[in-house]
Amino acid sequence: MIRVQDEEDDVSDREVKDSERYYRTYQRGMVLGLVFVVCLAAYEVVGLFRPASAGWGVGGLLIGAAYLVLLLIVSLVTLGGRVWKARGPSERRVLDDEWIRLSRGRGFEIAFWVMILMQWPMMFFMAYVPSRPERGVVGMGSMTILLGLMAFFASALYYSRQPSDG
Amino acid sequence: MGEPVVRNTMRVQRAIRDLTQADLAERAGITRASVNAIEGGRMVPSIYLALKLARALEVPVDELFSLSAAAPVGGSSESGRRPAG
Repeated sequence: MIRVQDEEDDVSDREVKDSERYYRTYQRGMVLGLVFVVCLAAYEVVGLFRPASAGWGVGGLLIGAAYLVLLLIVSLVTLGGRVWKARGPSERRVLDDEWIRLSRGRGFEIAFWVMILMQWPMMFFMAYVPSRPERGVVGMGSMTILLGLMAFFASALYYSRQPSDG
Repeated sequence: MGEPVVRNTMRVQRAIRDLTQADLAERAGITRASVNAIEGGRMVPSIYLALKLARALEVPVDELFSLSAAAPVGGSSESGRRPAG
């Protein structure tokens, strides 16, 4: 009888291959990207509803710095000490992979519609922003970008998931 | 008669050669995610990718992928999907 080997064998019983390491780094980077954007969006909402006299603070910079450090750690750990280079051959194999490009394309499409459709509810949401009007304008723009990024990361991750074949 | 469906025998061809999805991905220069998606019938590969897979498995491409007029039937070892577009 022919035995079909699935990914279960690949990850547990055998040495992890290079292509698999780079693929995992990409996926973990996407998860980190999603977490980063969600944190930024939460910080943005909190910032919008602070008193008029309060500034924006350095929270955004700290979140950005934490994201970059975490990304570097994930890259180093998953790649066994190597750093992710955008133009490296193994990295290109992952980034140019047909299934990953397809998932990213679907992610972009969903992000586009989220950005368009969310303008309507956001208009009402921003109407409740207290204090200075420029905060509402900045909030509208940045929330549009952050919502788009959130939709992109989430849907690209969702579509590139690998359900078990049994 | 249903829409044409692209069927593939990748899973069978891989099993004959005792290859894992990762082995085949390494040979073809793609990721395991693509192999998994094609085998699961969630993606129809481009001509370029189909040729790369055929070369990696050392089989003619039409033995690996075929166009069938019938709708996909569950429980088969082959998997199929309608071509996009």
